[in-house]
Amino acid sequence: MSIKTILSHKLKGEAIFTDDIAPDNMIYGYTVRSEIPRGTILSIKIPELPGGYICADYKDIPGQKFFSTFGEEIPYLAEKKVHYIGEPILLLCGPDKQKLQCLGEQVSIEYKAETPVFSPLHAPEENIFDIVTYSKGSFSGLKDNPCVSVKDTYTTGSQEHLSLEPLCAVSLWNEKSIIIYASTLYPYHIKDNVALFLGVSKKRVKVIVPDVCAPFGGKLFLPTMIAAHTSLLSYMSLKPVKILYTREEDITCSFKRHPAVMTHEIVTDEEGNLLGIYADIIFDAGAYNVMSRRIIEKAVFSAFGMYYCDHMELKARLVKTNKIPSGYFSGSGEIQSLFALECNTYKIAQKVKTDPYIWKKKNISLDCEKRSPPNPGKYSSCIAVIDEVVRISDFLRKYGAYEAIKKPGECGTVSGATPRGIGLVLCPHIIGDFYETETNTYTLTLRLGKNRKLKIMTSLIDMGTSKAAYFAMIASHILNIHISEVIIEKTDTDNVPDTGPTIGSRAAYNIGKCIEQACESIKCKEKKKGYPIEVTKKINLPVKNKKNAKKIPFTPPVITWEGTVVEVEVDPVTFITTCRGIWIVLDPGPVVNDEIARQHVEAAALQNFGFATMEVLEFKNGKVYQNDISEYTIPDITTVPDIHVRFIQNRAGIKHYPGRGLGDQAVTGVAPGYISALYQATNNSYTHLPCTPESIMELMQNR
Amino acid sequence: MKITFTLNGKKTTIETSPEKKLIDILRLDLGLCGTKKGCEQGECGSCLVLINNNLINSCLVPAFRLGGKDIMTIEGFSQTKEYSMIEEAFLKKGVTLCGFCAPGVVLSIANLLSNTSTPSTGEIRDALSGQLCRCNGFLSLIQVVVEVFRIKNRKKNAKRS
Repeated sequence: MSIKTILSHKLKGEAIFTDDIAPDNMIYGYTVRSEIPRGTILSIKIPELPGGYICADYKDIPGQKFFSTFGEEIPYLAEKKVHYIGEPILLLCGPDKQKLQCLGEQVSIEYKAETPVFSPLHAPEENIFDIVTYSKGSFSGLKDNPCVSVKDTYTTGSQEHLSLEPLCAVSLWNEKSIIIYASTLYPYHIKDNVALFLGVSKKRVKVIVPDVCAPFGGKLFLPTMIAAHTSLLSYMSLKPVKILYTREEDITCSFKRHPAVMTHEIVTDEEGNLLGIYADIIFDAGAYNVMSRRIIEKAVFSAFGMYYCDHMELKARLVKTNKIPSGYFSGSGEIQSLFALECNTYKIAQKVKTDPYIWKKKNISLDCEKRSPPNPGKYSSCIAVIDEVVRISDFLRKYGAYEAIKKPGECGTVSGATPRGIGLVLCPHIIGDFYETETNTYTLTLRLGKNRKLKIMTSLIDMGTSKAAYFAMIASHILNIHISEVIIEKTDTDNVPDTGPTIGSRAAYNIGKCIEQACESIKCKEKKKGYPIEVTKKINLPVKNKKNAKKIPFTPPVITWEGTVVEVEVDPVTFITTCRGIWIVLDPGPVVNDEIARQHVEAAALQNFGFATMEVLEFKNGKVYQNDISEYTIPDITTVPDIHVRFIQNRAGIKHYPGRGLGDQAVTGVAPGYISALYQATNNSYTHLPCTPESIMELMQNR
Repeated sequence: MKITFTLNGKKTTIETSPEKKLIDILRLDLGLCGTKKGCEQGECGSCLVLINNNLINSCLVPAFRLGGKDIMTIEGFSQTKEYSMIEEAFLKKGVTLCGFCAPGVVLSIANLLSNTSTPSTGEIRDALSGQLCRCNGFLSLIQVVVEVFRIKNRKKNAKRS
């Protein structure tokens, strides 16, 4: 199917999503969940079930009772202990959805409640899932000499992916094998885990992924649990079973972005020369450890950003609480950590009376040997990125003007004009997520037929048409074939190999690079042998630079630079804040399609804007307070500010494609940029996200 | 109860319970899955349809309100020449969507097309305000709408000359 045809299908409503799949005789599944945050199940009373209705608990699972998440294993159904409100305990299925819900609500569970832990700050030592410490020089000794410092504790909340398509799976067991339709970013994770779950060979599990709406990595691991639930019910009822989460279930029971508490301190001399950085980062992991190491690695790297000095100290930990598990969310780890770092660099620049641009340029570490694997051009583009974003946003003039007219210590101006502020952020992004967990078994296959039509077989999911477009453009360029001659095989585990999880920057960097290499192989073979030519490539792992292993921990092999400027205007009476514009400059390497790349950046910037200004899940006694979209506000077309995107295409070290990385999360600078701009406009320090007019007013009144 | 309405230009009679929502009638009874179910609370816009040329969330409309109504879903609208203009604009601007909110976006643009000749950016924003989307940053959708009206005016002028 060509890209044009794919887009046409989507616009006409012909794209098939999992909920559109309805096999004959299909029945529905229902999940009974824990109502308490922590405790032991003492008894379960199930109402009398009418004919055609059945129930299942952990004892009915024929095989393995846990699934992996690159962290700890999570039970499909709670056995005795429950660890959060919403944890699945029992499954019901039957033909009538309303009756099923009625039966589900009649299930009575008796618990012995235990004292829950809701805050990672008050958690006992044994709740720490993972901890990383790093120390260089003597940070605490710095203050023995005259110096300037800024120290603040920043908090960020739990963010919801809010995929418009709710989580859904349909399973069909035919007594020999099972077919699963699922809305997932990782079909082989379902295949492998459901095979173990049912105790059957992997050959007997087929996973088909229809079209998927899964912004920001929201359907990576949880779909495996839902697919296992429908598979068990289908296995027991011998009928096709569908579970479609309601919007309430989707919001209250799916994995979220990790909330974080970060104490960050920067010390400079009186001229603003960076002397030391200290960071203490605590992540709330929720009830289970979902890929904690990956989150913590990104946070550790981002706690220092692009700065390197003689005295650095860091402690980062991921702590268990009795809330919904935090899971993968694009930019996980770095988005929180960079927020604290970049807000503090802005404040210290103001404190030493330097503009943030000058301060950053003075203190950015360009020492490749110290900071990162050597890669000529990588750091020069960092400078180019900040220079360009400062230029296109007119940052220096605006910053100077707003400083000149602001009333010291107030939200007001000497001229009577509405207070404005402008923030500047420079962020490195870690690219190729999951490179630490790449198993070297992930592959993809390309086949060129004699009609010179190319088929790409990969289990990566096409969200939007970007995978199709991106891969097709790379192949079309290298093999010199028209883009319409590139066909992306539908995601069916019988027909495509395991290419691993679908993560935006991984698709762009790791997989894009692999496509490039496979196309080069085909090109060589085309001269020597006949058609069809088939090439299977292992996904290349970016190699860790062992030489730098003792430098900052988890220094990634590939990074993309982002420079962001955010300008705001604050009503001094209502504190309603208007974002006057966002300017973003990125160095993602060669951009394959400028338009698609720009749309990715805009969507990511908007999500980060929502994170900064309005999006947060509230918990009440461990339960998510919001249960529908009207209570969890996200930016819409009426609130989207003007976003100006530029790319600096630095090709250093790259043969053809791909870009160094541009995935779902290409932007983390909007949140610190917004808070920095508010800092300038109101002369007040905001340390909690989201920052709403109400929170600004509260801070201003309490000052 | 028995209800008769016009669906995508064809008279349709169904037997249904009065409280059943239009979205379920479309998806489950009539097999029209282009209308998507995102929230069932009238918030996300994935289930938008045109009823008597008004843009309505079909998850909020019970069956008993449908008698005699003229309902247009994405399946019907995609057969019109107005749809062709919208698709042309999407392709020209290279705008990608995951497809879940796309039918709602298309019908929102359709509604604007039938009510305005040259919308301002503010009117475009208002017209698409009922549709949430996480895959796209909206700004490119505004450009698509501008392009739709450019195509419309170009075709109108070509017809005149």
